[in-house]
Amino acid sequence: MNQEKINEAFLKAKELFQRHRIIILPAVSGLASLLIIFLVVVPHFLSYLRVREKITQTQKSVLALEAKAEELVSIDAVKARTDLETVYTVLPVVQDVPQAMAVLQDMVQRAGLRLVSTVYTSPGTTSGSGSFGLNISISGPLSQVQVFLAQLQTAPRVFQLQSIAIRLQKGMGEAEVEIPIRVFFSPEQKQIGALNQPLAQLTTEEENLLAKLSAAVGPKGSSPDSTASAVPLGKADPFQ
Amino acid sequence: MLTSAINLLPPEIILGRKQSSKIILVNRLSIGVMAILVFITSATLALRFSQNLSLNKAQQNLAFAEGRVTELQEKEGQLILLKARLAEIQSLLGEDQSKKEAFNLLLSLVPSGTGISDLSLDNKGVVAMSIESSSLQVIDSLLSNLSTPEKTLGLISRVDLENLSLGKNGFYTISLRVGIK
Repeated sequence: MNQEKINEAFLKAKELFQRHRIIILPAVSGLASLLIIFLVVVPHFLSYLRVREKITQTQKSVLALEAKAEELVSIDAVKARTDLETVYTVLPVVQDVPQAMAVLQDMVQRAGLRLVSTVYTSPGTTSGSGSFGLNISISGPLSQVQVFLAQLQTAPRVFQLQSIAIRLQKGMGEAEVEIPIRVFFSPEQKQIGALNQPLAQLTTEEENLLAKLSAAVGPKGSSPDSTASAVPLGKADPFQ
Repeated sequence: MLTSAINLLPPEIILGRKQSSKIILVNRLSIGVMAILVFITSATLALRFSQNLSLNKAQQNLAFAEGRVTELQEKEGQLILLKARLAEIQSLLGEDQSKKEAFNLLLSLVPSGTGISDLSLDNKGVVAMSIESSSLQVIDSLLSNLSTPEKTLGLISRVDLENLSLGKNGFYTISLRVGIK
């Protein structure tokens, strides 16, 4: 009974197919085509556009990184190390009070003045940089005091003039000068550049400043340091 | 004599043949569309495949370039530290520049024929000076210099005369307070 019904249904379907064959076949193939287009072709095409953009970006990154690598390779490693030593001498990580005192002594002598006394005052902090005070008393001609003040700008340490008090001895042309000076140092900074960050080269101003500082520090070992001081200093840094 | 053709086939067969030709046409169109679709799909897949190869190559190049830059990171770190340190030094050195300039300027404006007995510059940028001279004209010249913007180069903000006296030795003593910008 069931088999007869199945056979009857099959025959009806076959007859329906034969009668409407002209519509059914194109409809099925059209539907299949649309499915293939929307499920395969369109997604792949959109993905192609996305990946093409990604390839372009990747190629740009490659070019930028290669240019950066070439710039880094061209940097003289020895000069870079020397420059770093220079700036760390001028603005050290620690106070290094004996070195600062020796530098000031040397500057006073070269200006033709006499160093009467040097007094250490308490350290302070200025937005990331540390500092301490050295109050110096010097005597000599006023014109040489001006020379000494000019030398502060090109000294092998960062000195900042706080104030000046000058008293001139009548008839002698000699001045007695008290100058509180702030001496700076700066803690170590850990700076690592990002891979995709462009390489920042030194500007002309920075190059000029570096040249001045290098001239002030001089060749390695020639700038005044604690071992060259004429004043017995005892401990390497008694103020720490 | 009649020349028109007469189709002696029965109408059912003619109709059937018309129907068959339509079905054949539709089938051929369907096959054509499917063939075009297969072509488009194959082309799209081939394009994606070659694009993946390009992407892989670009990513390999990127990894290589990143490796090169990473190896040179120490140099980059040195350069960054150098720049930061130089910037800090530059800003610290510039902070007292106006004081030094004003100090030198004041000394240059004091005319000859006067003697500076005291001069002090405090940390707020105020200069207190005591000057002696045998001539009031010279003192007047000093005051004129201090109040002329072209001569003071815009570094002086104010000049206060605190004291003017005549000593027993015949010398005039003038005390001034000069503000620096």
